[in-house]
Amino acid sequence: MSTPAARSRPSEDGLIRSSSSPPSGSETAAERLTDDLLVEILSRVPAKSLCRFKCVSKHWLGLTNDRNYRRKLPQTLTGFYQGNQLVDSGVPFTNVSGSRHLTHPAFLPNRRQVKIMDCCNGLLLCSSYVAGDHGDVFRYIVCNPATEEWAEFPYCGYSGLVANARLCFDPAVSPHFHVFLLPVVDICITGVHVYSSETGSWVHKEKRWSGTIDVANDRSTVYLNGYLHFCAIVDGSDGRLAAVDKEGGARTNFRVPDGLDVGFIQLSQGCLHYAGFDTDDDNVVRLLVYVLKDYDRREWILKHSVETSHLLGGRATHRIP
Amino acid sequence: MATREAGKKMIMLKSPDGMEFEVEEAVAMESQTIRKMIEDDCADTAILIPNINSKILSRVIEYCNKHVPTTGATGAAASDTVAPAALAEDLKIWDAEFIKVNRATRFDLIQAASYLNIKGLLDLTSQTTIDTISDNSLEEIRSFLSTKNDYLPEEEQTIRRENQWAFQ
Repeated sequence: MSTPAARSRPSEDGLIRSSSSPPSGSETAAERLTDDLLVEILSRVPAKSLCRFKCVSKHWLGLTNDRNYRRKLPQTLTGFYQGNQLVDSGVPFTNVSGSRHLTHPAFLPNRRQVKIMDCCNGLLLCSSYVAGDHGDVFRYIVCNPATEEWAEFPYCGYSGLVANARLCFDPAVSPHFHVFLLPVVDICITGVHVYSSETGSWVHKEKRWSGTIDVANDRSTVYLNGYLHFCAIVDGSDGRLAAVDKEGGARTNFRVPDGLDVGFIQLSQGCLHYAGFDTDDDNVVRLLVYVLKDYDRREWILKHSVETSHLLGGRATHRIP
Repeated sequence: MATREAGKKMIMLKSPDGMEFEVEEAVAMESQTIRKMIEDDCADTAILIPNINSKILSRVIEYCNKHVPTTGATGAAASDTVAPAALAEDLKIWDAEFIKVNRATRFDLIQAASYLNIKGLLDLTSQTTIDTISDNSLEEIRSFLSTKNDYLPEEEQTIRRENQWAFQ
């Protein structure tokens, strides 16, 4: 097999290069598939298939690990950090094969009551307390567990009720992250407090939408297209999604898929997903996963449907309330 | 091959094996690569398309002809009388027929779609390839894409163990 360097590539500006080697008769068509074209093909497989394809050859493994190609390929899962619990001695991490160990991020020493609050595109948002001159003071921390880089910043100072702090980071758009805090008065969001890592400060924007938005029970959020999406009650109707941006603007005309009022949202391969449990007439419980392939058309497409008994190794399951 | 119509700007595309194809500029501009050349004024009379032989180039032009937006009086199907959904369905059926080609031709089309930067054709050819191999065994995939297994037996064992969940 030829080495990656020896393979011909289309030029980066997209123009045809006349120096590109023309196909020679001795090669099969498959051998003419350059790395770029192989990645083009591989970018269309689900993450699970990509993991299997790593076993095809060292060359394919190299492609999936290549820094330049990684962005095109579906990201494979390594494991899970456990959020919403105090982690003074180490952050629990469970890998996909099920083994669990504690990780010790660089910011951990001298902090108390550390808790992972959110994650977004490879960054973690944590809350913590550090000793100050007048007792412990609250600090947010945003860290990249892969590079061990981290930054800390204070609370915005707002004294009223807020919905959970959310991390918003899209490396394809900007190297800077934002943290959103949604102030709530009489169960309605009144605006947005935004911390920007670019300016290093908090800004408050009053809501610029009419009507009412209330954060629903489920706490999942997705940052996409500059908007923080969450399950919401809009003008008193539940089973809705809402999204706010850092200027206090909002999108509210999302419905969750029919009949799936209880569920959560996630981001996968750049698309908004909604998952929930459905019980049919025979009392079979299924996990349904919908995808918003075309964001603007707001049309949910059923992507997966799997009986929960299959997911949980044949154990009897009950609908999660 | 397109014939000259009044008011339509025509572009000549040349394949390396000497064939010439006269196509409407709008059709040729389905290729972002050619569009850029035309917009940058690098294409006065004829454009040589290296790497793509006449057999493949004619298939590519066939694809572009079908997929060029029918805003003018170009296509047989006038877009204002056909619902967009019906048009999309028609294109889907046409695409499915178009891609019924042998493996070598499909790989040539992938290569051509990439060089010429025709997103729809690249999507169609790549997705069809993935649909063909996604359920195949590793050995079948290697054979289909002429890829050699360059793992040592113990290396292959390790990588398979690490990704065992993906085989279940």
